[in-house]
Amino acid sequence: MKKIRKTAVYVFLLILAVVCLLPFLIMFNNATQSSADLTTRLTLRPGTELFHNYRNMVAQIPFWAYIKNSFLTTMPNVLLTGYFGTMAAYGFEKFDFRGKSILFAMSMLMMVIPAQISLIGLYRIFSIMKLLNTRWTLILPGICNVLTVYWMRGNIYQVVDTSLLEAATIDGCGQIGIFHRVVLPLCKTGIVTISIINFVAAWNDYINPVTFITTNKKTTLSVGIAMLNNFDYVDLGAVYVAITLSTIVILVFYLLFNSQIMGGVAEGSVKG
Amino acid sequence: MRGKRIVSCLLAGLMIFSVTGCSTSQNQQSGTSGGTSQTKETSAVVEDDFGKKDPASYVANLKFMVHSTGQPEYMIKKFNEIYPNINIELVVIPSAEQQEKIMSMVATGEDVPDLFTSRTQFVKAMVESDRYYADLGAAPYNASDWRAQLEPYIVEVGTEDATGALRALSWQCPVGGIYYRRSMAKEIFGTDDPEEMAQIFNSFDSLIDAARKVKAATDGSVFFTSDAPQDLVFMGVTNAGGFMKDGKLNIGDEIKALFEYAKIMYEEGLTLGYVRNDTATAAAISEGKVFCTAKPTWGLNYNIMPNFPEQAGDWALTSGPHPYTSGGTWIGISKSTEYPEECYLFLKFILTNEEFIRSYAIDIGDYVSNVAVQQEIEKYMDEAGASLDIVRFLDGQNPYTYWNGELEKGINPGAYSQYDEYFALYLMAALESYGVGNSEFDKALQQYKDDCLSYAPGLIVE
Amino acid sequence: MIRKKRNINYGLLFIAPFLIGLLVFRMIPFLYTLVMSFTNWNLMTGEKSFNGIDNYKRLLTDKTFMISLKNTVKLWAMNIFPRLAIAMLCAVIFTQSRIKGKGLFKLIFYFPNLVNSATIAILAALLMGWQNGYLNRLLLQMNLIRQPFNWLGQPVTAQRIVAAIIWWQWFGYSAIMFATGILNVSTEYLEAATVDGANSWQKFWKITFPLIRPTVAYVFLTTLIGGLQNFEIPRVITDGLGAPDKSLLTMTMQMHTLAFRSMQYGYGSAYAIGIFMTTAVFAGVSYRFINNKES
Repeated sequence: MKKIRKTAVYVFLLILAVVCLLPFLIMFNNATQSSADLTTRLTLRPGTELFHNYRNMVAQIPFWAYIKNSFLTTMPNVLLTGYFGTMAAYGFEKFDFRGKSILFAMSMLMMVIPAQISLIGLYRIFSIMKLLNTRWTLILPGICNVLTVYWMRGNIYQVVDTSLLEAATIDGCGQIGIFHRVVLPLCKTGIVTISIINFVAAWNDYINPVTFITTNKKTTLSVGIAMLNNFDYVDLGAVYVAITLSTIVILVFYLLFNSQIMGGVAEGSVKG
Repeated sequence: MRGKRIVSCLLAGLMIFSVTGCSTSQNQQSGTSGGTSQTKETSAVVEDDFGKKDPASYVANLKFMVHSTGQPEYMIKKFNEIYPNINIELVVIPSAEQQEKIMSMVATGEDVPDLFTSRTQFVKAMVESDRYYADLGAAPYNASDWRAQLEPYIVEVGTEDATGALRALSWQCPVGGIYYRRSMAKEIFGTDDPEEMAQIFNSFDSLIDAARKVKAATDGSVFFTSDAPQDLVFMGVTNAGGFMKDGKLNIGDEIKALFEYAKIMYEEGLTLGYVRNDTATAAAISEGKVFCTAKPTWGLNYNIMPNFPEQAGDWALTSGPHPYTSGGTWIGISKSTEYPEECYLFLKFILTNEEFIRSYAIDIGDYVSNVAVQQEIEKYMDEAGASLDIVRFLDGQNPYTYWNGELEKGINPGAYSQYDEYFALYLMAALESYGVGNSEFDKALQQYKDDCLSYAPGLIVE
Repeated sequence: MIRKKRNINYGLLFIAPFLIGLLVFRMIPFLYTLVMSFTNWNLMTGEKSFNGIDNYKRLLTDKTFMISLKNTVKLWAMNIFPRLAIAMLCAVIFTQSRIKGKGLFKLIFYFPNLVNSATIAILAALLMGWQNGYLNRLLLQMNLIRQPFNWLGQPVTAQRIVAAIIWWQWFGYSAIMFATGILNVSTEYLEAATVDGANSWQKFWKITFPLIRPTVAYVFLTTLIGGLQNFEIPRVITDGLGAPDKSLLTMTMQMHTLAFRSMQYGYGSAYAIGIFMTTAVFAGVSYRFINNKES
């Protein structure tokens, strides 16, 4: 009986895994087909046009410049989000002050606001701050990521023992020092996990770059891919190469950081 | 294939220039060495030298906002051959965001580009306001003489109705037609001659009959068209007077008739049923499942020729029930530019410099709006014949002859409104809904009215 | 809890950057939108004057608003239940059973969440095309259908496909959330239960499941909020206006069209506030419901 159950579970997981991976395979495969083929038929056999498509793509958009721009906005954003998000979560979780619950509830409420709503107002604000068309428009909002604060609050609750904090205080460590030397290291795993989520969201973000950045020197990859799709003559092969490369970047990032988490989990589990 | 095409075009271009010589057309910049060092600030000069200084003396960095880089890059390259020190940077915005981007930039006054394009679908919105494009007919441009050189309806559309200000112009003239497969036409109709096909297509009713014939003769394996709603809207709305007529939403008989035609085409299996899905349409045409498609000028060199090179020689171009235009790109000078003179030079170059326009027409294969060049290229294509890819693709047919002829039938510039882009989408959606059977006629028509009203709240709908 | 130290309230200090950011980048724009919603600001015509609650009156009688609301909720409902069910199942498997390769499966299940929404929508449109789509060709070849089926042309199937895509994107993420929640259940409780003689099944249902209620609540609420804001996939997969027949028109899509295509910033803002209200109501009701069930 147990064996049947085990097999059933394996089959179930396997099917799900295939469902997850299939679109990726199709996507990668499409990058190797010629544009003409892509518009006319599907073939699952890998094509030979990868290099040709790649050349077409870089001829149409400054691909590597766009990737660089995406990194230049995404990495700082993720760092800011992780740092200030954890700091805020620490403040909410381990401190008491008047109006704490109200402030926290209001912050949660901000999550309910759809992103598009703020666009117009944000455009105005950035205009006043003279930040339009700079990368700051994509980086600065990282300090107020509500999801991160919520997530890190739970994380801090778990991994940060108040006794530890009190001990550190007695040892003469200042509050800010405690945050940097005790809390942050303890929360490493949690921060890395939420950072993956933030990285993906920032990397794939289209609506913010397209609204706030007009100069092509700072355009990000997500907008670049949309451009490829919007030219008078759409070269599908080029589009798929761009999409594939963009996805590979995220995959690499994810795998790299996931190994960090795996390591972290092993460490953390000693605590239990 | 592509390399060969470029070389043959270059050779052809060389031929033309050797034949016509260095024709100093009336608008060519006189690169005189008259080194009168007049600075920009000197405005109180008896002889107005706006735009007439030594080309190399113009130094500027312009920002040019476009949605697609192919044609602009070509223009800039050619422009820099005469004005080497005017640097034009292309700012690319996805076409769907273009209108919104410009409008919000102008609203905040932030970073507005010096030059920017508008698509035909919303050019009227830009032209009918005084906040976007500068009046080219007024000082310092005083370019009213350009009106006479370009296709009249283009000038009309680019002119603000209320004040007569000339705000935008196009270097293209996207005249419509029907592209069809010659081999299929021969088989089904016994002829592939464009004149005879024009007879077969000369009314919507006869067009539908032709569609039925296609189905019958091929046992339903070939469809007349792949996208009935789009074809119907392209071919029918201009003639109906446009989406807006007499200041009201146009729901006249011609528009209502389009619904019925859509229904017939769907019910009798005359359309493949794709709506605005270029990829799927291309796939179907490639497999020989589609007989014809209604497309304007750009359909040929942007759509059909690049996608179906193996079908070269099997296509021809003829007219549908009514002349129409669709799509196309316009250009104007931003009201707030700090380089009016340099922008003026660029526009003047691409709109009136016949040497450039000729090479543009041949290299890019586009149908231009400059009247003189239209005639010249027609003759040129007649002479050059099948040595030109575009003529060979149409099995010897001269597309310029067709387009010139179509223009003579007259295009109604009043058929353009500022809502064209979205009203077209809503109409196509309504046609599809009714045609597929998802809603009754009244409901579909009401949906169209509601959508248009939602888009333009002050709209008068009956 | 550490109390205030000296005269500096460190708690406030630590949350200060976050709050300031929230104020500048979220609150103020939101208030701006709120104020705009009482104007008739239209970027195309240039008018910009207050018109009281006219926009809201229009909103309440706007048929398209109702349609978009209905569709948004429908799309959300269609994907949430399969998503939570499968995610929970996966989470249970990951944490309870001794399957080899759990790590690998977890890794793979998260992949779909990494892909750009627009990208996957384009791919799906290709797969589900009517005459030439991959799926139809496959089914035709396997003789399962005689004529190609217009998946994205019929409202019902189009909605199911969009729901399925969203499910594909998010079930891995939800599974990991659940798994984390399950793992967080203090082992003390479970050890005590084992001592008391409970088996795995009982342990799960009587101890773990109730204790992960907060996690379930969190996932449910975030999926609700995210679901009500569905934008990218329904927009890219067909014509951007909700075809067929507006069945894919979600609230944020319509708002986007109103504000950024027809340039009606004023009415679009009112629409946005309408979305906000609706989401708040749904979230509030769900929150109450979940908390009430807690004994």
